[in-house]
Parts: sequence; structure tokens; C-alpha cells
Amino acid sequence: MIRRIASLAGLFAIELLALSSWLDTGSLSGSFGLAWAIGQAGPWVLRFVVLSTVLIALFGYQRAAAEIPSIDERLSKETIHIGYLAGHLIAVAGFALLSVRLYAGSAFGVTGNVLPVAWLLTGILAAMLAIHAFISFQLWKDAVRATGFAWLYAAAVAGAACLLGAVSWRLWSFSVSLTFALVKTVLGLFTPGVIADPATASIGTRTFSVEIDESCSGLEGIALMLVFSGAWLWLCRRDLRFPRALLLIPAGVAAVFLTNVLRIVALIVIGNAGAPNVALGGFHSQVGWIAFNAVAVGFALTSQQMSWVTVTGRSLDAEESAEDATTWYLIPFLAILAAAMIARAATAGFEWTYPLRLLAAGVAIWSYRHHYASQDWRFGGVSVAAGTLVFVLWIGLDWIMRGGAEVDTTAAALGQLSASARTAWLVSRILAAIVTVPIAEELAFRGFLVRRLMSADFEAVRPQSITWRPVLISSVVFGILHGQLWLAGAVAGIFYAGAYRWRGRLGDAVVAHAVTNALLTVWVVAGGHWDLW
Amino acid sequence: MSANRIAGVGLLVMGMAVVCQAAPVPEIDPGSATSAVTLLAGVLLLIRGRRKSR
Repeated sequence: MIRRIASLAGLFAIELLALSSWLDTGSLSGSFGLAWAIGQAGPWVLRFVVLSTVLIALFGYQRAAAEIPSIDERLSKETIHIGYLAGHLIAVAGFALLSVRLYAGSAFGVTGNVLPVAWLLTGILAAMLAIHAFISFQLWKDAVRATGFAWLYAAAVAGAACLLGAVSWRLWSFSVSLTFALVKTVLGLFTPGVIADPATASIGTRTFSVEIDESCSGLEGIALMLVFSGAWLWLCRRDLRFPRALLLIPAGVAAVFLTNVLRIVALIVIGNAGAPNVALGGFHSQVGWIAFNAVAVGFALTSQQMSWVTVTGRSLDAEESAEDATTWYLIPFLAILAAAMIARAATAGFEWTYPLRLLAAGVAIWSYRHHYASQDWRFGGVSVAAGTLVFVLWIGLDWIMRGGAEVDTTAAALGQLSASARTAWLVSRILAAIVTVPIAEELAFRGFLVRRLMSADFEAVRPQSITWRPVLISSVVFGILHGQLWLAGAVAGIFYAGAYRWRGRLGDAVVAHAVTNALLTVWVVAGGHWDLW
Repeated sequence: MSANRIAGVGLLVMGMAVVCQAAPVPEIDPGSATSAVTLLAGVLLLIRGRRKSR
């Protein structure tokens, strides 16, 4: 059944692509009546149909899982109906001809509704013929019935998403104006002599100013917050009191909107203070996420601890909450990620604040050192060999994926530092690469994620029993976090997981990782391949 | 709540962030999405872990 549906979707996608690249709904804007309505609503109807179909498949698949085999069996006795398929192609040809008339006619001011009605009916007929050609209506009916109310949920979600999308376009200018006014007010508290031009939405001082365009007016953060808060409340619905918990959503939206105002104010203050490269560089690219993450975590904590919205009716005291093992497996890695975002936000290109990452990881590891004592930190020669092999593969894959092209700015930036600052930076970079990063990443990816993918009680999973699937998934995630070098990262993840599995010792994975990083350090520093850092 | 669901929330946020890629100078930089969403998902796991172990 999946193959048939995929074939049908493929056919529709090709036809849609051909038609949409050929016809422009914008040309209907000058027409009237139904033709005008098609021009206005057509793209949104299309988005609704595609989105709701995908959602029905997602929601309905699990619900209908028990009945899919019997439907599959019945479908295997049906072949694709060539007659209906031919009818579909004829109808598509007719639809295309009518489209030409409709879209070209609009330029001359088509006022009648006959042509648009014929166009719509032909399109519907073409779609129905294709649907019936691939799978009979009776089977479709049974399949939809097996999915229960999935179609209703899917239509509701798709409708809400489209509505939100349509409305959001109209909110841009309002959002820019409101953000502009708030930035002007708050900036006045920090900086005298604010220069603001409402016509161009540019604001700043004599030395540094920015233009608040639509993309930084706060709506992106609001959209992310709506998605996040809706998903979070849904997932925690058993712990929360409704409808009062829903009030958290506007609170979160307001918070994320205001943090965007503060972000722009801080950006102008930094730029005005003489660091325009930092303001428009690392700060601009990182602080949006830092603000969103801060609000999202605040939202999650509030929903968990505020007795007014929790079902239990009492807040979660720090003493009451026994620390979950997840914490100490993940904390060093999360500390590095958080420190990296802050470190990048404070720089314009070269990350001279890198020691912050070492410090954050060091503090996290030291804080939970008693927990780590229970791990088996012994290691064998195989882990050293695995680490060396990964190094060779890393260099090779880097060369293949980037074609040997090196974009090196680190050496030049290091050259501008004083000798003591350069030494301090290099020492912290090397210590991080060889000590804290291997420990933090192996705890998170091999110690936690690989086993967590096998069981919720991940600590009970013996490392020797881990299978290929979790190794592959965790390695792909590990690879993605290495950006351009994702393939090398994924391959490395597989080898480190192998080292971990070999004797069930985390020490083997950590040492393999440390050996790779140590060799890479030599390659970078001695060979001058700074772009690998 | 399982880690899978938190991963789902992360993917949802990531998807939205990628949509933001259309903007030339975005409030939410898609280039930083991977590490930011990983960090958020990890912290959410910790929050839920502490709640569950109460």
C-alpha cells in the first residue's frame, strides 16, 4: 500500500511541479469572481491539501497498523487500473488547456465563472481518476475508516497552520512598528542621542545603527515559541491543569518578543561601544537562539514547578527531586554547547573566548566527579588503534568532502594575539580537544544516547548488547553536530561505539576519541591545517 | 515522557528554524540551529528526568 501511495504522490508531485513552474497565480490578481478567489486562495488550498495528507499518513499509520496487513492483502489482488490512469492523463491535458485559458484570460479581465468552474471540476476529476486508478475507492474507504479520526485531527492542524501562516504575513509590518517603538524606548535608557527613522525602521546612534526589517521583528521567535509551547503542553498534558496551563502560551510569546527587543538594544549598545564586528557577527547569529532557549527552558520549568498549573498542586522542591542519571551523563556535553554559544556570541570571527568551553566542561565534570567514579575507565590497545584509524579516516574524508580547500583564518588571528594570550589559547584548545571533549561527548553519545535508544532504563543496558540501529542513529546525530565534517563525525561515532562495545568500558571510547583528537592536534599545529579547528 | 518525544519537539523546532532560512538576516540563525536545538533538547530531558524521579 505504501508503494502505491508513494507512486500516486510521485505522479501528483511531477504534475504539480510542471504546472506550478508554468503558471503563476499572481496573474489572476487582476481578475474577478471565482478566478480571483482561485488566485488568492489557490496556493493556500494546495498547502492545506499537501500538509493534511502528510499528517493523515503520520497520525493514521499507527492507528491503522493492525488493519494494514489485511488492506495490503486485498490491494495485492488489485492492479493499477490502466483505463482510469488514461482517463486521468486526458483530464490533466484538459486541465492544462483550461489553465492556459484561465491564466492568460485573466490578463484581459475574465469576469465570468464558467471557465473557473470548468477548471476546478476538471482538476477534481483528474485527481479522482488517478486516486481510483492506483487504489480502488472501496479500499480507500476502508483504509480511512481504519485511521479513525486521524483525518479530522490532520485537517484541524493543517487548517490552523495555514491560517497562522496567512495571518502572519499581515503581521509583519505591525510587528516591525511595535519592535521599533519598543527598541527606541529601551535604547533611550542606555544611550543618549538615539537616532530613529520610522520611515526606514532604522535606529541607533551617530556611530552605529541597524535597520529593523521583517525578519528580525520578533515573529520568527514567536512562531518557534508557538510550536514549542504547543508541543510541550501536549506532551506534558497529564501533569498540567487545563485550561489555565494554556495561559503559559501567551506569556511565552510575550517573553520571546521582548527578548528580541532586548537583543536588538544590546546589539546597538555593543556596536555603539566600538565593537560593530562583534555586534553584527557572533552576537547577531547566536543571541537569537540563546534568548529563545532561555525562554523555552523558563517555559518548561514554569510548567513543571508552578503549583498553579501542575496537577499535583505542589511545586517541585530541589530537595525532593532526586537527580536523574541522565543529568550527569549529559551535563558536561550541554555545558560545552552552552559555553560555545556564549563564546561565539562574544566574538566577531576568531573564537578567542574558546577557553570558556574548557572551563564550563571542567566545572561540570568536577561537579559530578563522584558519579563518574563508577564508570570503568580502563582501556586497551584496541581503543588506541581505533582512535588512530579514525584520525586517518577523518583526514581522508575531510579531503574528499572539501576537495582539499582550506579556509584558514585561525593562524592569522592567532598571530595578532600577544605571546602569552596565544599560548593560553593553544593550551586550553589542546586540553579541551584531548581531555574534556572526549569525556563529555563519550558520556553523552556512547554512555547515554546509544543505550537510551535501546531502553528507557538505559543504565541497565549492557554495552556489549548494543545493536547496530542505535549505534547508527547516535553516530549520525554525532556527525550532524560536526557540521561540514558530518560524514567523518558519523564514521568516528561508529568506531567509538565499537570501542565501547568491545569490552563494555567507557574508558575505551574516551581514549579512542582522545587519541583521534590528539593526532588531529598534532596535524593542525605542526602541519598548519588550522581550518580543521 | 520519553526521550523520543523530546527529540520530536527538537525536530519540530529545528524544522521551523529551517523555514526561517528564507530570511537574509534572521532573528533565528539557521546556521546555529543544530547545536542550539541539541542543547534545548538536552536541557528538556534533564528537566523531565528530575520531575519523573520525584
